[in-house]
Amino acid sequence: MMTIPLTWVLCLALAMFVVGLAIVLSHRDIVRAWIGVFTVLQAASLALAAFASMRGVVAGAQVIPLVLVAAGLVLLQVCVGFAITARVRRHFASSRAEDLDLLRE
Amino acid sequence: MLLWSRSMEYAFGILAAVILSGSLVSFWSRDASIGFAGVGASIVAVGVLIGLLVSPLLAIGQLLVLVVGIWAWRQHRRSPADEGREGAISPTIGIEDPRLHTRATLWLVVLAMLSIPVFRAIFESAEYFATFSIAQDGTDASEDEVAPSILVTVYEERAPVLLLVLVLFFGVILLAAARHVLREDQASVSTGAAGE
Repeated sequence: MMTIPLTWVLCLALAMFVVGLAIVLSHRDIVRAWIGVFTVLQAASLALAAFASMRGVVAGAQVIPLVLVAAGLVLLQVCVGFAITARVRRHFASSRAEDLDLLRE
Repeated sequence: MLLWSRSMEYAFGILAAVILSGSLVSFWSRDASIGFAGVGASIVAVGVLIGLLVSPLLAIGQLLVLVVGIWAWRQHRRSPADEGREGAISPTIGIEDPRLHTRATLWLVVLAMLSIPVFRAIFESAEYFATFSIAQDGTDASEDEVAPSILVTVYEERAPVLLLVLVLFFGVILLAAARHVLREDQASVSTGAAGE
């Protein structure tokens, strides 16, 4: 049951995408860039949910694959993002993107 | 249907305001703890919105993200790069005990998740009684065409007050965040001046 117009949700997702992209492009700290990337991916999750609702994928066992995909996707985003951040901070003792000049030792 | 539809529109407006203000706070704030708080508010609001749009089960992913995010932030704070650093960022906003902060955040998330079915139940039951009262009058009370009842009228009359309260609520939160940022800036300027 979707009583919110699809256009509204897509506009909100677009606004989130733009703000996330602005965060990524305008900050040099990788933690902040990670927040921006996460905001962009949240916008994608919101659009996925909106289209799932529009197509009527809301009943019974049909929800389970969608739940697994959405939960797995967002968990992977956070885990991979945090792993990269922690690794960089440990090796370079800094979290500024401009201090990073090596991809491997 | 009318009451549920209208309440969904208001809920969408409120959640969209929280999502966008949280994202913008994380964009503008210099303090990383405020940035994390902003993105955390966005995560919770997106979870509630996805729960309302599709199924509360889908919001589980958002809950996992928030739990992992809090854990990551705590690990980030403990990293060697921050040891003894001048002007290190406080891991909390206003609450000094990090354990209390984590617990409060988790309770907030659980309450947000629980509020979805409660919210639906309240408005659906109100809608049922509205339909029932119209049916008692002998008028047409088909599910698709429920005439505006007294409940709808009262709800619509109170909506501006509700919106005003919400605007004041988020205004106070944003003012508190701005005050915190200004205080941090002032402290860093004082530290820089003392160092020179």
